[in-house]
Amino acid sequence: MSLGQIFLATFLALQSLHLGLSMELSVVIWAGIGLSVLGLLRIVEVERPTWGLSFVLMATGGFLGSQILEDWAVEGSWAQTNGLGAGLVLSLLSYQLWLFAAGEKSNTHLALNRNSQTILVLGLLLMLLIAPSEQTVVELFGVQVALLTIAAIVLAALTLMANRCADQLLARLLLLLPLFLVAPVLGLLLGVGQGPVISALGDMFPSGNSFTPTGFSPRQQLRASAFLQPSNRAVMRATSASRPNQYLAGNRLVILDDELVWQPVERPLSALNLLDAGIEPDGQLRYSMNNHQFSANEIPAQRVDIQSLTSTNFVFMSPNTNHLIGRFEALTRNAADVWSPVYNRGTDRRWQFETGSASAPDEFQAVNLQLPTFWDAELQSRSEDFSGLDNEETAFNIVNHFVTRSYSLQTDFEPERPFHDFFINERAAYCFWFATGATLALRANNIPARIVGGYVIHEQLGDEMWLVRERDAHSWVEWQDSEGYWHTIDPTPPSIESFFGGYESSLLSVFYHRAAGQWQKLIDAVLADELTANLVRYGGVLILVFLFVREYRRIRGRRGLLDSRALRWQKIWQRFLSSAKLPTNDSWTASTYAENLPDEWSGVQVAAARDFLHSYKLQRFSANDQAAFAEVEASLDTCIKVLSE
Amino acid sequence: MSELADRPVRVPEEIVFLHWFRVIRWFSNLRLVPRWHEHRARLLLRTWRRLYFDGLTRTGKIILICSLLIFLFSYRSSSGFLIFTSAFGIGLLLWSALLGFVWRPKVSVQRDTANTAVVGQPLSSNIRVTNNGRLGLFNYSIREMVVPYGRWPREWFRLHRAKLPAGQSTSLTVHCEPQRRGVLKLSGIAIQSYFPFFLTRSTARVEAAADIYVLPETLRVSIPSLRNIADQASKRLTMGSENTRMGPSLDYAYSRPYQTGDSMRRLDHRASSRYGEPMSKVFEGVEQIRRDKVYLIVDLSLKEFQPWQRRPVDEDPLDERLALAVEIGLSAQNEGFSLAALAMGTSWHNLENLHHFHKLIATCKPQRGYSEELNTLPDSVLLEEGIHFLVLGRWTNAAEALVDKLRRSGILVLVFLIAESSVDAGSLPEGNQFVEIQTSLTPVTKAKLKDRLTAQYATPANTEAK
Repeated sequence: MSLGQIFLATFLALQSLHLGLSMELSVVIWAGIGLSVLGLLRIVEVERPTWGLSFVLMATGGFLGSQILEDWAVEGSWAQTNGLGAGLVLSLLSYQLWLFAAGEKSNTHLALNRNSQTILVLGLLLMLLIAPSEQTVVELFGVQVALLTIAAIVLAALTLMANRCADQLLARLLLLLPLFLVAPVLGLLLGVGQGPVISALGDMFPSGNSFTPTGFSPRQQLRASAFLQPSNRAVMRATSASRPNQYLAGNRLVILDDELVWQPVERPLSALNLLDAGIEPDGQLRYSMNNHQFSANEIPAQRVDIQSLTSTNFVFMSPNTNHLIGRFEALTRNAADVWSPVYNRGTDRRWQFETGSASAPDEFQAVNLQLPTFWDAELQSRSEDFSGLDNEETAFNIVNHFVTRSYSLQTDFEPERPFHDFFINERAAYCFWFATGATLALRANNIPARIVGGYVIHEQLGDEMWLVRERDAHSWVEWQDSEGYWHTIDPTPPSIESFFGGYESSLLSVFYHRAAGQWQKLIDAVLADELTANLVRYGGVLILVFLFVREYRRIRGRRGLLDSRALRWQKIWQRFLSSAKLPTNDSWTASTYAENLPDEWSGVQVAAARDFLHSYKLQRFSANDQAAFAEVEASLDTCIKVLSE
Repeated sequence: MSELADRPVRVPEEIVFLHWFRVIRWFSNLRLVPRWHEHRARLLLRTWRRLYFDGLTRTGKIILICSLLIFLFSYRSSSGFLIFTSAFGIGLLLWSALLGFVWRPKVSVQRDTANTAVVGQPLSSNIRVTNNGRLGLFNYSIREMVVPYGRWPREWFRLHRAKLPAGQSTSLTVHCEPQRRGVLKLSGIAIQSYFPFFLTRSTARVEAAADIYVLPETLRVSIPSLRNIADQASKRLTMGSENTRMGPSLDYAYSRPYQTGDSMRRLDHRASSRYGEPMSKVFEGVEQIRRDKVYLIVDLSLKEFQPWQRRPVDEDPLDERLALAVEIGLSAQNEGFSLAALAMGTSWHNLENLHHFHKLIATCKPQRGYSEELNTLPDSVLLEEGIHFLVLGRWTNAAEALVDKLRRSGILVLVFLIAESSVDAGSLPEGNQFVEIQTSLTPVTKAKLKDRLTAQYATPANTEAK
């Protein structure tokens, strides 16, 4: 046991402590320390990990992390929120422990030790980049120090030099002392220089282009000058037995402020919790939504399954949704009037909504008639031109006006009076402007209206599957009739389609999302039943363990095979000698035996023995061992049979 | 894809349009992105390489990278301990580099290297290192400074010495592995000190040039006994001596690997068990072994090497042929012949010693512009007593004419063929003096053998500023 090995074991123990504290898993600490000590003592001889074994180890770690560790870890710890990452980190730790246990003897006559370097590189990567637990950060002489991390860096240097300058180790340690005085000063300098360095680095990169990518934003601003670039990033995948309503509403905005930003109606933050929800047979919660949507005909109930493909926590649903179903503990309506769920632990960002024609009238609110401060007589007079016999006709006139206008992704209105420029001069613009114009024109004609933000479904992936991308973000309008029901109208000109022609989804992207959707369906079908899910889960682990054991046995057995081959030839030879009752003479070769067979043997026996000896002589050094064994053994069997007769 | 070095050569006999056609075709196939080895010597890459190979060890590199990442990404969190960790990591490396600079190697070296090497086999050099500095040299190792088109052992296979006091000398061995036939120009030795913490290296480059003649990769074939073939060809073999009851009336000469056709009685079991492969005993007549001279003729032409090509697309067939010539030369020496002359292409070279032979083999160039009419073999015949060995890649009319000419002059000629392509295999006429050599190495097994060595050897730069 060399000094370098002891330092390396300490480094691994420290790493286990660091990871255990950071993940809040004490088992990692004790297992890591225990295995470091066992590896140091070299009680068991372990084979060195191969690439195949390392891959299986990492796969097992990732699988167990995502399937088991995520549920098992302490609530709120990073291991719980990122089970896959935690599993991979623990696999890396196991790999280092394994490498340590299988490490070759310390070769002090060589410049560096490969295994030690690999362990130190991986270990330092984990220890420096994974934030240490607060318990290990102490204040020494006014400086905050992460004890474990600093100790790991020092131990790394000690491990490398311990065996190669054992007699001067103390002197080398003394060389480290000035560093502890310099480091705080350097820390101060780095702290001062951090801001300027980062801003200088930021300046080195080219600034972003002037395009504004499309996408849903809870609060939107009308900008006089903008150039939208449709983004193909996937947002949601929708699955439904029949074609769903094309609109997926995110929020409804009511007040257009002086900054030209649409704001929701001021209301206290509302939230739904478990008490407000019913329970579905599969354990999902079912929340009732207020449906105030007008429907002229009876619409059959439809259930649409949505899977979010982004990290945002918004729920989008059809305007005529009656129920929202999902695995969320609570459902809050945030300040921007968007529903945000609190998902159950370990569940995907998915929800279902049920639509239907069963709706109730909404109450009238004065705020839905509120016009912005820049509204003047000119705008009012232009709006009144759309007035019809009733509200429905007025709404029709307004939509009819806007849909005949030009669509453009680029706007360049008068900075002082952008809305006037758009509305009076009939300039081209994009959907948000048209929706704003229609809403305000409706209000000017005394019809309550509001703007709706969300997405439009138009890309079909399969029979029952649709994909929503950022480029499908859209704004449209709802107006309220005299009974209190809300009607959906879309004033955006149909020429919008021609603008999206250049931003079609690539074939590869469509293929990927279709495959991902089918895969998700398969996973859902498997996970639908708890027993099947567990079978797959533990079956997967068993397969990985089996692969691991098989590969390990293979590399272990390879060495044994080399020895056993020579042994097998020896056995064949011994078997021949014992069955032929010939004396053992080490200096005789097969040829000598063939030439000196006993005189009392019959001609048949001599021929059989010579056949075997000839075959043995020919095949003994054959490259193809298996065929050679088979041939020689067959020859021996014949020989023994003849001799015994 | 073609490279700059492949630009077509103007052939005066051809019409110019053909040349321009080739130029356009070459240009349209030209690699726009240079190969890695083509821009290794550039300044920025050289600086980076120095940092990579000579500046920091792996552990040092990871400390630097992590410290910089912590420095950059801790800006938002503004945690004091993160800045301190980053400062400690960077400070440790700076401190280590400073101490390493103070105790940097100040040495002189003397090189002792063999003047011949073989592709794919380690070349060892004995280096005598003298510490000329006022301070001791601690924790150091040495390597070749540059190995053009070669490899050197990975860091964890290099020898480490703990200390060399001021004014003292010591001897160390340095290995490298040439990868290409030709002249390997070793420029010097790099001495690296890991002092003090094994996180940084301080490197001194000392000039110690050596030109090594690199022979082609050894053929993994066994050459039949030259004397036996010669005897068989000249009908002087002792007929029937092996059939006597008491064994052949010949004396044991040496053992060589078993070849198909060898008598089973000749198997040397002791040698077989020692080498792990079947070995045959070779017997010689009791009479005095004749001290014959050997003349080697090697065909340097390549079928695919067109007159307008600046270099052949694949030089391996020629390397194999030359490797066979080397094997024949060595076998001839071992069997008591003396190498007298070597014909490369159409000219003869009298061989002074084995080193001269190796030098010629290492430096010869393939003959451009092969055609049926072009004579790639010597016109003149050395009318001297001895055996002529002809090493060919193809059995051609010119070769046949040469063999006839030699035979008519009463000179024994043995023809060895190592087929350049599958078409040329089996083209030799029947006869004792015609031997076709088949390499057991397929491209796959060759690649596997090379892979096995990559575990120990890394590819360094081809050129570097001294």
